[in-house]
Amino acid sequence: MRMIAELGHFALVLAFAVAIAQAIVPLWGAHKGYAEPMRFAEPAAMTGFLLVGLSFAALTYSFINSDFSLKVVATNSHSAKPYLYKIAGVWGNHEGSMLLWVLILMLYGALVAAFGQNIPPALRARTLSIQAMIAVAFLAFILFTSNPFERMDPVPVDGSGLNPLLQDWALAAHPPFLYLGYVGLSMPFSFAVAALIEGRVDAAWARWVRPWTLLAWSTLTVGIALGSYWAYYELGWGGWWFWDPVENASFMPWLVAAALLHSAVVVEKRSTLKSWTILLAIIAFSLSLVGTFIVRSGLLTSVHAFASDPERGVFILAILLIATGGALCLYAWRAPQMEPEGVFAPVSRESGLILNNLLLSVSTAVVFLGTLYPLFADGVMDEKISVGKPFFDLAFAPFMIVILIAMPLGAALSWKRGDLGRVMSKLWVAAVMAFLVGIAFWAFRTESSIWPPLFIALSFWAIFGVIVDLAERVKLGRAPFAESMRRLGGLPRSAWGQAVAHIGFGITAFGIVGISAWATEDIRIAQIDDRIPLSGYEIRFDGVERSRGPNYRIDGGKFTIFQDGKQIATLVSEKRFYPVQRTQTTEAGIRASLVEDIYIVLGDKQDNGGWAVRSYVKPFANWIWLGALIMTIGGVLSLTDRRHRVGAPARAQRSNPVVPAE
Amino acid sequence: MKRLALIIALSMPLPTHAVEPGEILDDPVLENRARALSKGLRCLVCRNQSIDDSDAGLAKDLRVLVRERLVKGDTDDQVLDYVVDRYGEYVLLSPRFSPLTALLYLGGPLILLGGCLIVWQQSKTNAAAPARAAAPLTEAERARLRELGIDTDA
Amino acid sequence: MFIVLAGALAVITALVLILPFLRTRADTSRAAYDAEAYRAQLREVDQDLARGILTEPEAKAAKIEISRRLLAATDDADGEIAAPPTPSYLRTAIATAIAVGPPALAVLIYLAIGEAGRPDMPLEARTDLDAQMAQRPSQAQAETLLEQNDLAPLAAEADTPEARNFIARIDELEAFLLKNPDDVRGRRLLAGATASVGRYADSWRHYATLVESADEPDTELYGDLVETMVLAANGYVSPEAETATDAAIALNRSDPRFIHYKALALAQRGETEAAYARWSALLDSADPSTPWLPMVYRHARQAAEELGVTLSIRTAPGPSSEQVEAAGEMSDDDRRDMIEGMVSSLAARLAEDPDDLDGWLRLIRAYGVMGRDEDRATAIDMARTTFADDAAALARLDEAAQ
Repeated sequence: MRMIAELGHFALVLAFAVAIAQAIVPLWGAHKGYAEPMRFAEPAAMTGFLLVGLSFAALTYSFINSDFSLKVVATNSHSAKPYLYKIAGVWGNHEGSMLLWVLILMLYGALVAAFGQNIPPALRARTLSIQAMIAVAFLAFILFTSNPFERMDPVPVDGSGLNPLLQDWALAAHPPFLYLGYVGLSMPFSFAVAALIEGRVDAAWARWVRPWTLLAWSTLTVGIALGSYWAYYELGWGGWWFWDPVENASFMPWLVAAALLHSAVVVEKRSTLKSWTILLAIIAFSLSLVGTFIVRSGLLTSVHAFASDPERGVFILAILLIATGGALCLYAWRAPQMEPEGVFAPVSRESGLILNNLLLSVSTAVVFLGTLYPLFADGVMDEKISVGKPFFDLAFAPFMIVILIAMPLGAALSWKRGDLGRVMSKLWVAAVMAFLVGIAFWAFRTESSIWPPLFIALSFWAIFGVIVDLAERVKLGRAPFAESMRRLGGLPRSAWGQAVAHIGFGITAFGIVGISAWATEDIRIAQIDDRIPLSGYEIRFDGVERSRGPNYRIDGGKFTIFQDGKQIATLVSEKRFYPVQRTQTTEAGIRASLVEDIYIVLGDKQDNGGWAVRSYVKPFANWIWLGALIMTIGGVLSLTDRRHRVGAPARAQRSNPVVPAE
Repeated sequence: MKRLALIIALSMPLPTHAVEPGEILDDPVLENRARALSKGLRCLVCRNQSIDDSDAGLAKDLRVLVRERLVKGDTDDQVLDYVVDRYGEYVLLSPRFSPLTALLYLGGPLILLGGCLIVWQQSKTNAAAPARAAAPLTEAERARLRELGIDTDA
Repeated sequence: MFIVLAGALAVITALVLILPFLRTRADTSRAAYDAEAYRAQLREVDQDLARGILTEPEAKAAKIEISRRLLAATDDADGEIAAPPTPSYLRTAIATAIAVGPPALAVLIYLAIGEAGRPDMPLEARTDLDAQMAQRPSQAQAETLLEQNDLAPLAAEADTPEARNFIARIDELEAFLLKNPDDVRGRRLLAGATASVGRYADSWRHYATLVESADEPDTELYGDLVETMVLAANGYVSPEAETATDAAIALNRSDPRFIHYKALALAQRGETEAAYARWSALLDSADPSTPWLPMVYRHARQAAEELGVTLSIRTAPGPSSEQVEAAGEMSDDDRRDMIEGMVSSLAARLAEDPDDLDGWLRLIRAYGVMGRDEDRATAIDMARTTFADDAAALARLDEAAQ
C-alpha cells in the first residue's frame, strides 16, 4: 500500500520546519560569532532541498500515475494526456508552479552550501539564513493557501485538465527556465542583505556574487525567449512580444539583472559602485517578487482580475512588502557607510558601465511605470487608462538605441582612463562595415524609409564592434596569423562570454528591426486554387480537409508556395476546435528560414464557400530568438570561466590555530 | 480549482483572428490608415490587445466604426477624437498627455535626468579625490606583501 | 507503515541537522577568504598581461590597487578573531532544540493539515486490480484482494449517538444468534442491519444461511443475497454470486435485478455480446422513470462501444417531457433529484460525445421544462457549433430553440 502523496506532503511540512530553524540559528550564530550554529546552515540548506525535492518528486509521481485523489491532479491532469504533458502538468498550475518555485529556491541554497566553500563562513551563514526566510514565507504560502497535496473525496474517475492551448513543448519548458532566473535572483538579494548586515561590501564580495547573477540572468533569458517563441507560432498572428503585464513581469528582472551583472564587474575590479550594486540586487529580486505577485494574484489582468483568490494575492503582497521594505530599510541604514574606493576618469570602462546601468535602470523604470500606471490611475485618481504596445514601443526603443551605440565603445574602453579617440580609431572598421550593411538593406528593400536600414546598421555596428574589438585584442593582421590565433585561444572564457553575449544582443536587435519594418501581410477570402501574391511569393490555396484529432476537429488548410513560378514548399495550417472545451486553437503553417518566415493562418469558412486566409511574410523573425540563444551561450561561457570559482583558503593557517575537538 | 486552470490559460493571450477580410476597405491608402489607427486602440473586453489583434465582437464593431469614419473623410485625429468621445480615454493604448498621465510620460526622462545628475555629482567628488590609488607601493607595503608571499617587483 | 516512514524521515532529518554540533571546529577568519580572492585577482592580472589583454601600465596600476586591498584585508584580520566554538552548554542546548523542534513542529502542522496514512490511488493500481479480477477469483479471494487494495467497502462509523446505539444493537443480535443459530427472524434482521452499516461481507453470509435453510425458495432472499455479494466485492460478480443469480433467474426470469447481475457477470467474463443483449433488452422493456436506468445505460453503452455497435438513442435515458410530467407524482425532493440526475447525466454524455443530435434536442427541451434558460441557451449554442455544417440539423435546432 503506497502513500507517496502523503509522504510528499509530510516532507514539505518538514522542509518548512527546517527552514524556520535555518532562518534563525545561523543568523544568530553569525551575530555571536559562534562557528557551529553558522555551519548549521549548510546541512539545513541541503536537507531543505532534499525534502522539497522529495515532495516535488511525490507530486510528479502522482501526476504521472494519474492519482486523482489529489485535487491538483484531478483539476489539472487527465488520464489521456500525453506522458510529457503529464509531467509538465506538475507546474502547469498554480500549486505545482509555486512548489517548483520553492524547489528552485532550495536548489540555489543547496548549491551555495555545496560549492560555496570559498565564501567566508559568516557571510555564507547569513546569506543562507536570508534564503531560508524567503523559503519560510513561500512554504507557508504553499502549505496554507495553495497546498498541492490537498486530497479529494470522493476520487473522480478522471481529471479535467486538458487545456488544449497549454499542451505545447515550449510552454512546458518555459516556467522552469523562467523560475531558474526569477528565483536565481534571490541569491544576489540574499548576498546583498547579508553584506548589509555585516556592513561590508568589497571587491571580494562582488566576486562571490557574480556567478549566481550570471546563472540567473542566463536562465531568465532562455525562459523569456521560449515564452516569446511560443506566442509567435501558437497565437496565430505572428506577434512575438505584447508588452503584456505578465511578459513585463519577467522582462523587468531581466533588465535589472543585466545591469547588476555589469555593475558587479565594477565592484569586483575597482571596488566602487558598491552601494548602487547592492541596491540593484535588492531591486532585481523585488521585481521578481512583483512578477510572481502579478502573475499569481491576477491583479493586472483587467477583465479577469478578480477571478483569482484575493487571499493569495494579499499573501504574496505581504511577502513582497516585508522583503523589499526590510531590505531597503537596512540599505538606507548601512549604505552611507560604503565608501567608494577606485577613482576613474569620465571617459573610462567604469563610466561606460555606469551609462549601461543608467540606461538599463531607466528603461526598467519606464516598463515599470507603464505596467503599473493603469492600476495607479485607477486606484489613486479613479481614472481608467490603458498603457499598451504603442506606448512601450515608443518609450522603450530610444534607450535600446543608445545602448546599441554605446555598447561596443564601452566594451573597448580601458579601465580608469579611456581614450575615446583611440577606441574609435580601432572601431572605425566596424562602423564602415555596419554602414555598408545598412546601405545594402536600403538598396535591397527599396520601398522602405530610411529608418529601418539605419537601425539595421546600428545593430550591425554592435555586432561588428565586438568582433573588431576582439580582432584588435589578438592583434589580428598586426601579428602573424598563428600568433593571433594563439592569443584568441588564450582569451579567458569570461572575455569570450562577454563578446558572445554582446553579439547575441546585436542579433536580437537586428531580428526585431527586420520583423517590425518589413513584415507584410495579406488578408483575404480565398477560393480553392486562388493564388495570393505576397512579397515575391505566390501562395496557392489547395483547399481544406476535415479530420478528427483525439478530442478535437481539424480543419487543415493546404497551401502550396511558389517562388518565380517554381514550387518551393507546401504548408498545412490547422484550425482545431475542441467541442468539449469550446475552444479553438490555431496551428499556423510556418515555413521557417533565416531570411524570412512564411506564416499562414486559416480563418473561418465564408458563406460563399471561400475561406478567410491570412498570410504573412516575417523577415528575419528567427534572429530574435537566435540572438537570445547566443546571449545565453555567452552567459554560460562566462560562467565556465575558472575566475568565477575562487578557491577557499587553506584550512590550517598559522594565524588561525585549529581548536581541537572536545 | 477549475478557476486556476482558467487563470493560467487567461494569463496568456488567446489565439485570435483579428481583422477579417470582409472589413477591409477597397482603398489601400485608407485601409493602411485604418490599420495604423486600429493598432493604437484597445479592445475594450480583451486583455491588453489592440482591436487590430482581437477577434472579439466589440473589437470588430470598433474596426468597422474606424473605417466608416475614414470613408466619411475624417482625419486620423478626428477619428481618434470620435472614438475617445464614445468610449473614453481607456480606449487609447497610448494615453494622451494630460496632468493625469504626465508622470507616465515624464517619469522616464525625469529619472534619467536624476540619474545623470547623481552621476555628475559623483564624478565631481570622484575627480576631487586624491590620486591615492595611483601612488606606487611604499617599501613598507612591499615588505608586508613579500611576507604574504606576493612578489610585487615583477 | 506511513508512520514508520514519516518517522524515519523526521529522525534522519534531525540527525543530519545536528551533525555540525557534534564536531567543533573554529573557522578560518574572514581575512583569509578575502585574501584568497585578491590573490586570485593578482594572478589573473598577470595572466591578462601575458595574453596582451592589459598593457604594462594598466596591469601595474591594477596590481597596486589589488595589493592595497589585500593589505587592508589583512589589517582588518589583526583585530578580528576567527569564529570561536560555541560554549559547550549552549551547543548542547541548540543541538537539542534543533533535533526536537523542527520534527515536532512538522508533526503538529502535518496532523492539522495532512491526511496521515491515506494511500495513493493511481489509475494504474485500479487497472492492475481489474486484471486480477479478470482471473475470476472466488468471492472470498476477491474480498481479500479488495481489502489489500483498500477498496473494500467501508463500514459505517459510529460517530453519532444513534449510530452507536444501532451498532450496539447489532452486536447484541450477533451474540444472540451465536446462541440461537436457528432463529430465522433474528438472522433476517441481522442480515439487513449489517448491510445497512456497510458490512456486506457479513451480511451476504447471513443471507446465504437463510437461503439454504429456507423451506421454499424465496426470490426476495435471493435478490438480497446476490446484491450483498456483489456489493461486498465492490461490483464484482464472483462465480458464487453468479451461481446464486442463475438459481434466482430459475425462480423469476423477469426480475430486472437478476437480469442485470447476470449481464454484469457475463460482461466481466468477457462475454460482452451476451451481456449487451440482456442490457439492451432491459433498457427496452424498462419503465422510463426507473431510477436505476442510467446505471444500466452506462453499462450498455460501454458494452456497445466494445462491440463497436451503436446503442440506439431511443433507449437512452434522458428525461422526455412525459417523464418529467410523470415525475409529478413523486415527492418534490425526489422529483427534483431524479430530473436533475438525468439531465446532468445526459449533459455529461453529450460533452463526451457531442455528435448526438437527438440528445441535444432532448437536453434543450428538458432545460426548457425546468426553466433553466441560461443552460438552455448554452446548450443551443454548443449544439449549433457542433452541427455548424449540417443544415438539416441546424433547422431542427432552430425549431427546438423557438
